[in-house]
Amino acid sequence: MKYIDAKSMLDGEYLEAFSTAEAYGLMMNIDSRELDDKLMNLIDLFTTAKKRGRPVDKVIGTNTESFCREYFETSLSPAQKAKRAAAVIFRYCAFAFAFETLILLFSWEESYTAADIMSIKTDVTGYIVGIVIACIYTLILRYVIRPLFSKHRFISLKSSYTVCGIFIAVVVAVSLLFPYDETSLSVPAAALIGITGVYLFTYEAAKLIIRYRKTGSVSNPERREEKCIEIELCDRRAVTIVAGAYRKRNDRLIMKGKAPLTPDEVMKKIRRSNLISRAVTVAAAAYIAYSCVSYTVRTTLEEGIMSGLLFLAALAVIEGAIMWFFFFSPKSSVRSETRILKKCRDLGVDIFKYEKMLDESGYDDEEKLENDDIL
Amino acid sequence: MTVYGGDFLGDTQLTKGILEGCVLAIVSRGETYGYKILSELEAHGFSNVLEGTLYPVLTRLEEKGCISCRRGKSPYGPVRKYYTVTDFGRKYLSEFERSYKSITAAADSILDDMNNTDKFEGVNKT
Repeated sequence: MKYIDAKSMLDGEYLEAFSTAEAYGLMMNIDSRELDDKLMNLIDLFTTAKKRGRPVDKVIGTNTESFCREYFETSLSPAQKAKRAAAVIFRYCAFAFAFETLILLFSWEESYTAADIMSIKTDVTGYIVGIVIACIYTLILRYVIRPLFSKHRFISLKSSYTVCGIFIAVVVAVSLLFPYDETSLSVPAAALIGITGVYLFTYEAAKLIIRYRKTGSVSNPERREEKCIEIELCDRRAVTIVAGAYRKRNDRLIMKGKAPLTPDEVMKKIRRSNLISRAVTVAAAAYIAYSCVSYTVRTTLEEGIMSGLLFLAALAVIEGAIMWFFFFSPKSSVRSETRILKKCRDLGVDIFKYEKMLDESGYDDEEKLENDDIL
Repeated sequence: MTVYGGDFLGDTQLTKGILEGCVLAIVSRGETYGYKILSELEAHGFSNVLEGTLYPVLTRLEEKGCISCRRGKSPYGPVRKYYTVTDFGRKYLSEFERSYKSITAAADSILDDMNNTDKFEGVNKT
C-alpha cells in the first residue's frame, strides 16, 4: 500500500513534520518499498499521537532534522543490502523482460520465421546507460546534495523535486548535445528475455519458498488486508472531497442569496451523478469491446491470423488497463462513490454525517483503556 | 544533565545496548505496535527514546528472527505494523536477561568497591 493514500489523514504540525521526513526520505534515494514502509510507519505514529493529543515534538523530539537523520540513515546488514539489491534488479529485469518481449513479438511477426527468432537483436546500450546514470544520481544525491541541503536546512519536498527535475534536465540536455554514435552493444533479444525471465522466475520462486517456510502458506494474507485498507482510505478521501465540494457549493449559494441544498437534495444529486457515471462506464466498455473486435477482425482479414491475434493481445492489454484504471478498479471514483452511497443508505445518514462519523471513528475503547494504564 | 552535557539515558551506547532487550521484553508480553512500545518505554523511564531509535531496533530484532511482524489495520486508518515475539525471541530474551543480570552484578560490585574505597580514603584523610 502506498503511503500517499494515507497522507491526507495528517494535518497541521503533523503534516509539516511528515513533509520534512518525506523530503528527507526522497533525498535518501532509498528503495521505494522501504521508503513507503518507513513513511507509512510514520503516518501511523502521527495519526495515533494526534488522536491521543500528543504534540508532534513529544513524538519525534524538537529537532525534526536530527530525527529524520536517525530514522532514515540506518545501517543495513549484509542480508538487508542483498535483499534490497535483489529487489532493484528484479524491477529492472521486469521492465526489460516486458519491453523486449513486445518488441520481439512484433519484429518476429513482421518478417521472421520461427527459425529466425535468435537472429533478432536488441540494443542494450540504453539499459547500461540508464543504470550508470541512476548510480551517478544516487552518489551525487547522497554525498553532495543531501549533506549540503541538510547543513543549510533546505530539505523540503520542493527542493527534492527541484533537484530531481534539474538532474533530468541535465541528462536530457547532455544526450541532445552529445548523442552517442552508431556504435552500440547488441545482443540477441531472445537471450536477453531468457536471462531476465530466469531471474524473475528465480526471485519469485525464492520469495514463495521463504514465505512458505515462515508462514506455512504461499499466499500473502497481509496483501488482502492491505487492499481492503487501501479501498477504505480511498473511500475516506472520496467522502472528504465530495462533502467538501457540496459544502463549497452551498457557501456560494448562500453568498448569492439563494437557499443552500439540504442534505437530502445533496444525496439525490450524488445518486443521480453516480447513475450517469455508471451508465457512461457501461457504454464506454461496450464501445471499446466493439472497437477491439472490429479492428481485430479487419486486421485478421487483411494481414492474417497471426497479426490479428497479436493486435488483439496488444489492444486487450492497453484498453483493458485503461478501462480498469478509470472505471473498474475498486479505487476508481465510480466504484468508490457507489460504495459510499451504499454505506450512507445502510447507516441511514447523509454524506456530511458520514464524514463526521469517519472523523470521529477509530478511538477504540480497548486502546483507550490500555492508554490510560500506560500513561 | 551530565558533566558531558548529554542525557545519560538517551545518548549513550549503554542505552542502545540495553534497548534491544527491553523492546523484546515489551513485545514478549503480547502483540504490540510502535507507538505503544514507545509509550511503555517512556512509562518505564526511557523518556528520550524516539521512533528514530526504536525503528532500527525493531528492524534488527526482526532480521535476527526474534520478532515477527504483520501488517494490519490501524483503528485510525493507515496500515500498522504489529509485532509478536517468536520462540527464538523468547530464548534470546532469556539469554539477554541472564547476561544483563551478570553484567549489572559485576558493575554493581565494582561501583560498590569504588564507593567503599572513597569512604575509606575519606575516613583516612580525616
